[in-house]
Amino acid sequence: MARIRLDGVGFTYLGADAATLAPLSMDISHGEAFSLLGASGAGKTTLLNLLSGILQPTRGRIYFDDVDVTGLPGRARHLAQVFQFPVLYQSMTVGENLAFPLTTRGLNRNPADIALRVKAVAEELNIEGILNRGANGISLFEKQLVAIGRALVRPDVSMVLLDEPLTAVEPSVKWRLRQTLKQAQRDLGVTMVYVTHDQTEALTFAERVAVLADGEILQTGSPEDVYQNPTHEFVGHFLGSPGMNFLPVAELPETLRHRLKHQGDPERLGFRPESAKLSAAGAFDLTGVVSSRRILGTQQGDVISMYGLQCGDHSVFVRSSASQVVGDPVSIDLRHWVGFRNGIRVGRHGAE
Amino acid sequence: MSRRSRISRWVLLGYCVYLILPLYWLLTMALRSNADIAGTFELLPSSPTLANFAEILTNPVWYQGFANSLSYVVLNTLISVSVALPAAYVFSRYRFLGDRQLFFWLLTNRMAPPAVFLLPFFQLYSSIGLFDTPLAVALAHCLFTVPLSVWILEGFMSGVPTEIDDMARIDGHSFWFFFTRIFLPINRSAIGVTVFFCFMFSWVELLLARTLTGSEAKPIVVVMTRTVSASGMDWGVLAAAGVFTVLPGILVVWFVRQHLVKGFVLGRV
Amino acid sequence: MAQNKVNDNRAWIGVLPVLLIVAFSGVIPLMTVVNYSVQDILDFNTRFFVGLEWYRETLADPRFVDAFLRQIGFSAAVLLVEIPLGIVIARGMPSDGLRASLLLVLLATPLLIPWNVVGTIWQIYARPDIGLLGVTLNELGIAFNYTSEPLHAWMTLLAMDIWHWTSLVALLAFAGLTSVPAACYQAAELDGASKWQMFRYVELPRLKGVLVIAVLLRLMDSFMIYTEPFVLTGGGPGNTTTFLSQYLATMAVGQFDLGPAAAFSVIYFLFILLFSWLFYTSVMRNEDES
Repeated sequence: MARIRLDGVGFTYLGADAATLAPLSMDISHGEAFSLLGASGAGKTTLLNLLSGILQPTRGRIYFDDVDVTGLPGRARHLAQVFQFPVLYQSMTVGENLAFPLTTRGLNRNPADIALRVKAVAEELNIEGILNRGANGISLFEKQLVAIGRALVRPDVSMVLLDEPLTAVEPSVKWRLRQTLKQAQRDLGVTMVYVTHDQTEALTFAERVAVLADGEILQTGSPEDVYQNPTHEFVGHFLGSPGMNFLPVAELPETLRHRLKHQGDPERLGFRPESAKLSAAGAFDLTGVVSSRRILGTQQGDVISMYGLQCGDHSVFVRSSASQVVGDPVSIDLRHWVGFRNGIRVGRHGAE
Repeated sequence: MSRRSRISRWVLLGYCVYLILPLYWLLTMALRSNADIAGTFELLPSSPTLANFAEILTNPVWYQGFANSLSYVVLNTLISVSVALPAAYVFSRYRFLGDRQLFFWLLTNRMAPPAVFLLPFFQLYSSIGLFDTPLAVALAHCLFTVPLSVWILEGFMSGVPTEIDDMARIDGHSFWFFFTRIFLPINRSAIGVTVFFCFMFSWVELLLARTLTGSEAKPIVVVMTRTVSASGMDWGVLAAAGVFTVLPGILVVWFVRQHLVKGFVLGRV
Repeated sequence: MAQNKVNDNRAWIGVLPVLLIVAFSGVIPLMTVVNYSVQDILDFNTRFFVGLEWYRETLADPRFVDAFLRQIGFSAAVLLVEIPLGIVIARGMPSDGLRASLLLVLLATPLLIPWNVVGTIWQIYARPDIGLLGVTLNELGIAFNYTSEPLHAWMTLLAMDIWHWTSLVALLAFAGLTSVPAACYQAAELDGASKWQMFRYVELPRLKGVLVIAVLLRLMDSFMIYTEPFVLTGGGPGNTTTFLSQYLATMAVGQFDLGPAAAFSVIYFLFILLFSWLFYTSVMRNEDES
């Protein structure tokens, strides 16, 4: 396993006016579960290709364990990659697929050792039962597990890159694949970089997440951190379903505005649906009218709903166990909020 | 396909040269008179002439031959494609009694050696008065081109989702409207590939074309095989005719080149 | 591929036109042939039923056996060269761009030349008096003459067939190779695979499907070859390059020996049928797998 460091790495395609990736720096620890999250076009594929050696950065350097690998091809970086669809050797069995990376480099040609390692990885991923099956005849889910296994099998692998690995798998088993992956990462202590546009995948898998937009890393931090305390409006908006609510401070009640002036003087206030509490009108300063209600389920006997509220000209969502009806005037208690000016966080309040 | 080994590229280059040389030689022959050809051997024609090409374009025996060939090729393509389209559609959308067997039987016809059909074709077309007409050759070729067309079209059509048919039906369109205005345009590549293969078979075939024609509908391929004059082979004119027969092929390939690879990808040749 | 097909026997209407044409073009003539093959036809009105007599005679006819053996030899030689050569050529081709288009056109051209013209081109090319190849070989000291030397005739025929048909294999293989996703190459590269291993484990499995088709197509078509050798050598010198189709054509049209010719036809057709059954089952098997 290696510690991956990107130092001012940027990339511009030949002939393009704008850089696809602005110079960015990243530090991934040895054995860390790291996720690169961004929408399509944010530059995550480019970053992935830079890490895997397909592309050479136009600026900056890349280090694996303090060794400058910028000029090295992927093969020499000792990494492995899992793709969006299962990439297997169709003519081999599952076992042979897993053993292949071990046989090619003459590391340890001893067949007994190879078999042991294959078995260990297969057991970790729960596929030891299909070791003798042909790689073609198994389900998509199993195929992707084999692909993951092949990435994990080499003991000297520096990092495993995963490019939206759940894409091809049937929706009903996506979570199972995610679980298996996370467990394997933890058990084997593998440095994994998981690239995705799906925030659920990123937030549940990773120890740290880097949110990418327009070729820049907006924020890097633990899942809770990026979720609760986004440093950019975009991050707050992109994460969460529904995303963060934003209200212009200028349209807030006077009392709130006054308070906010001393807490970073933000232009816009962001808060998550679950960070606010609904009460009857009059209890708090921020008011709104219920415009929609969607029942989410029950929790300890309470019915939890997602309310759409109209606050002046703006609509926000609040998740609450209160019982309201469309048309009811309500007031909102902001437990936790983040203030933004020009899209950047300037202040925050509350801890949850 | 990002891995082109050095050896493969050299072999490719060598093969290209191998392909071009005889064609180059054909061209030089076409640009020289018979006397010139018989007289001196030279790699580059020193006194090129267009007389051979002129002969082809002005002598009715020659240009009629071309016209005859083109007419049966076009006829064949039209018939094959029109007949194959509904069949392919049906094969790709429906399951019916005997469909797999029918499909297989169709295929076997593509595999039939033309030589086997010489005799019966001769008698059959003579008896119905179609002997020595382009239609006879077109129909005879259908034995091979129709199964091929069905085969290719079905392959493509199977890849078109049935949701399109459903949507058209829900939108209230008649089947005819759906088929001609929606379905066929989607299958443009398929039709292009099919036309290519029909052309490829019909234009190149000699045996049947010769057997089923006499003097009226004599195709170019027959004219060429009978070009022996009193002074021996008319190499110059023959080569010029050859050049004219190669050109349509090149044109057709150029026009369908994108669809070509797609057609081969299905592996259904 | 096999999506949600609807069960409906009325679908037969769609295949009716095809059936009519192929029945007219194929079934009726074929029945005629089978009919003739079991009869002794002295003239139009005098015919006797002779059962399998002609079949026995044909299979025992030394000229038939000779033609058959020659045919097998030719087809085998053709396959041995064209299949590997086609694959190597396909691997050397760029995947797209103007160069790829031009190469495609060049490769496809021999496939679209009338078969007699192919023969004529090679006549002009290989003749020892006016041909580029013929003259060059003679200049180099080889007494090359394909009209009088059986070995030279065979070599020229082979060279001609390779010139004519290798492109088909190459184009099929090219199509197969383009279907390999870049990720497969990348994964193999990261696994540390050598170039040979990449060919064997990434490309070859993808090529399997198209290769089976290429082999069977070339086998069948070379088995039916008529025009090119007819134009180039006329079957000679002597009958050293007379293959099955030519032998049949001579019998059927030239000699008007309808019975034996018909029996020959049926035997010939049965062989092809065997090949096409193999073709069909392997293609269907490939599709089920994918």
